[in-house]
Amino acid sequence: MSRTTRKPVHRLALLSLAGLSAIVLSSCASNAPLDTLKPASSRAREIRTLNRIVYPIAGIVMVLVGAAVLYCVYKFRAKDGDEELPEQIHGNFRLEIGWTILPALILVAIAVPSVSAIWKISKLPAKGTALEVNVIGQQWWWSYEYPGTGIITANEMVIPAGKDVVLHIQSRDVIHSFSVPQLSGKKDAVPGRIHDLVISADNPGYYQGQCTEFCGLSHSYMRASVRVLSPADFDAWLAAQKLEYTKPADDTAEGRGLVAFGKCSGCHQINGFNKVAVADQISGAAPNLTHLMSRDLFAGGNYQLKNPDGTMNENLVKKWLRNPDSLMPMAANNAKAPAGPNGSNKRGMPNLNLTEQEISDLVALLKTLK
Amino acid sequence: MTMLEKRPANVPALTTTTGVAVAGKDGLGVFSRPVDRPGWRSWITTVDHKKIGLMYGMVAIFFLCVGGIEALLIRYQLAQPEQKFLTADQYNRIFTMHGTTMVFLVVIPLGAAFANYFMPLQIGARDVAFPRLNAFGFWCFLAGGLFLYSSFFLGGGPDGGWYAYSPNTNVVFSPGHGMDFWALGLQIVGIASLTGAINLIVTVLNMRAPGMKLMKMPVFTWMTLVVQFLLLFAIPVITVALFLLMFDRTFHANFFNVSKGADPLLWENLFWLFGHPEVYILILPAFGIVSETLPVFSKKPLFGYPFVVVSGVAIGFMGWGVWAHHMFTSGAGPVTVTAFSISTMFIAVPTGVKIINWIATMWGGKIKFDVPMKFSVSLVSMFTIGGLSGVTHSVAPADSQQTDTYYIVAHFHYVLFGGAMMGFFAGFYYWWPKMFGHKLGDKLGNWNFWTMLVGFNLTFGPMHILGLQGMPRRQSSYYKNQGWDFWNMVSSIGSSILGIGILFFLINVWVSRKNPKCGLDPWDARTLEWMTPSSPPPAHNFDYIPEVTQLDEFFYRKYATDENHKLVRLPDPAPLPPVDLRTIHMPSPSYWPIVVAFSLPFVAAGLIYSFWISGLGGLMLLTGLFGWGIEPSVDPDNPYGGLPDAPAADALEPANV
Repeated sequence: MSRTTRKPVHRLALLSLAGLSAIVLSSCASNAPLDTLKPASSRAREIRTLNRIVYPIAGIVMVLVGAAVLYCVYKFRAKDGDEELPEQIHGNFRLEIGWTILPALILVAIAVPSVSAIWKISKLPAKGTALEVNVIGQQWWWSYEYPGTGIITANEMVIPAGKDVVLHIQSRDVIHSFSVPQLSGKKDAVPGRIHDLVISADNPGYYQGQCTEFCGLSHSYMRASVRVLSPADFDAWLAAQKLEYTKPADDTAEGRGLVAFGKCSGCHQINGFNKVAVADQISGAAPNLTHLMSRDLFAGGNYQLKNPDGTMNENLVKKWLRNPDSLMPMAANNAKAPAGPNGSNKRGMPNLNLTEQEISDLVALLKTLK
Repeated sequence: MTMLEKRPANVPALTTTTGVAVAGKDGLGVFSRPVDRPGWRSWITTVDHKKIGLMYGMVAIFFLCVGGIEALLIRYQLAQPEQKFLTADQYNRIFTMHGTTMVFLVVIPLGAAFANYFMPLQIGARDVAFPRLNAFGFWCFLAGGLFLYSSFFLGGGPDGGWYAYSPNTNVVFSPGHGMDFWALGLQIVGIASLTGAINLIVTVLNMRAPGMKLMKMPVFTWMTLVVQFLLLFAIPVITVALFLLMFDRTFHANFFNVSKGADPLLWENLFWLFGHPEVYILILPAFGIVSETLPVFSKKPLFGYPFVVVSGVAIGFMGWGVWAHHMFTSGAGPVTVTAFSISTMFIAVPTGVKIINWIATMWGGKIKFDVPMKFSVSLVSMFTIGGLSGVTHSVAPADSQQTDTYYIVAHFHYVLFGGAMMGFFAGFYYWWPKMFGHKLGDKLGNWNFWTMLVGFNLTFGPMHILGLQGMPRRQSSYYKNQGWDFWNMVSSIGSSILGIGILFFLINVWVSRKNPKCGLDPWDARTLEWMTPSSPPPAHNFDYIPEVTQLDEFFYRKYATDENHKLVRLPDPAPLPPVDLRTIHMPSPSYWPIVVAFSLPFVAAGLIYSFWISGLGGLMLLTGLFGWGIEPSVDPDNPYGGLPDAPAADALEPANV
């Protein structure tokens, strides 16, 4: 008997050791761009500070409970041949009161900093001191509007380092959730509502994010990225984004591309060339392409638009134009779907069955959209 | 004393005052009144709470295998980055059905299975208060579950997630019929829970053995009572939500149509107002089970019985005030977030009280590590991990990082698998001898336990790390450069081990079926269900209903303190004279519950395809209800419920008249 009871003890001990070392290992895991424990902004650091209070407490409780269980399992195991019953203790009122109050006190210790952080993080900066961006989710990409400037971009938000940015998070179709863990917590994009979230970034760089509320077929491919620039670079970016598009000559490849673009212009807009009023799809919009080549990512933020030398990654863009489904799943051609609020059943980018000639013309056009 | 036992006197009166023989051999209707014979018919017409409990259990284990296979498909897809084993569409449907299955078709029904089988035995009752309603509940569960799964064969499974956030579930965004099947199927399954809740509440409150005051009830019965109250109030909330969704999808209503001014948070609030009490509906039966097993295998009474009971009741109440912690990032203001953050933290107090009391129960005991005890101890430790990660979620700002990541997946699997399932497996091994007369094999049981424990921790432990590294949930695939490759692989390997663990259980069930009988009280147990005259118990449960004088009544009938205040085993009591079965009144079997229950999928299918099918179902429903209504609950030709050894009706003098 004692042999069979001791074995589990060893195994349990081994297991808990493995569990512990796993947790230790996790803290030094490298290169996880969505890591919630590597904050790069004041609010994300605020959250990590909370974790540094809560996790040790939870860890201590876990170890204490685990140790008590293991101790009981080892110390109070029945011995062979011992048929006498242990003392039948029904309880102890004082102990009960004690171990009701004790966890309550521990929780108070957790509650105080938590509540103060809730209010600190949700506080909006004074009007006029922060950059504002309308963050709009739709199946399955994010668009970013900079109110008052006319600037609309897609897939990657551009913000200056060291400045609070107030995001007005919205949705055009279903519920999405905007999450860039290194810059702050998540906030859901709920259609019909505007949710504010304040983010900031200490230093220039790329910060990766992801839609984190299940939003249909291509949810996994709905990525968010934040490109953080130095204040000077950001001003330059703003100025470049405001430039209007100038129409190319008709007999060039770009000019022919503009003709082919007619097939795309129901949803995509190039400022100064066409205007999409209420876009012809459920989601109400497709990315504005006026300054496409100023972005690094396309197709829901999943793919690099450019080669390392800054030229367009033509093969990938052509693949996308030939059949968007090959890069991320789209529900655009679902004939069974009933019409949405805008009278169409298109979601995501449809396969327009473009000819190879049209595709290369379009690529030539897109390359000029600096 | 109990309701049922008063009724034999009324039986003749019922038929004679109406003056018509409304059922029976020459009665009305397409079916002659079934009598309890062996064979499949005895199962489809049974109103015996034990048979119904067994059927709940069998169907739930079947769905556990289905949901488990779905889980394995998910883990196979996610074992490595950028896999193309499943398409995004298939993946979405499978994770939706995995969650739906495990919650609605596995864990709730397993709770119902144990409650049905053992609660009446634990309180010394002969059956539940409304035996036909009980059967109806089970058939609704089966009909709803089959209806739900038929969607895979009739044009694609549901694809909106088990929580089905609107407007992603509206026709525009989910154009197939999957979500229709989902909404209507759950509606039917919900009827099972609702009727079961009423039935079991009435049973506990009215049919306890003489002397069994509320505070002398076993903890499993207490937790069953709390769970049934939670179901009674929570199921209507999801029913309303499902009706709104169904009206949106079927009749073009606008409850969740944003362009007509709807607010999708209506669904979120309704769903989680059901969904959080639901969490306690899932876990409390397992808490009840280990509150039975820990004392039995430690040879000590439960430490702090009133505190364990009251904390269970407290969880039941507080469970209604925490739902918005599922919605910390849904746009609630800081006041709401603060309130729900604090309430969520403090629901940890009663849970903590339970855990400490369980440890105190083991403390100073003489613990025997039979398989049920191993599962029980692992519930105490694994659930603690899930509970503590729950406390880390209650810190709302931290939750804004954790929510919708694998950290949450890790948390609720530690609660629902490490908690509820471990508890149910403890229950299987503990009560198997009562249900079938023999124990499940020890050797396979140990293999079952260790592979499950190791597989479980390997599957869900790494998910804590993945979640903190930001891996979002509900992703059909992930990219290579995210730092998630290693732990996903570990988790997928773990899931296979876990699957093998479940397989060991099934093998054990099969292999053990010819095990030798093990006696009526194989664990030296403490509660009334071990006092039945046979294992499995006879249809009427107890020959003589025991009079209860104290908690752990059965234990103190076996042991008494001697002059040295030491417990000594009393000699076995002299066997009681065989009972005259004519003095025992039992409900009669009936066809109507299954007829009524299986009309519902037709009504539902008609809402999806053509109202003519609804008409057909409606006709069946009406016929069933009418037949049920005019059928006396007790067959006048066979007033003893068709007990196998009951004397023929005409051979009897009217007893007790």
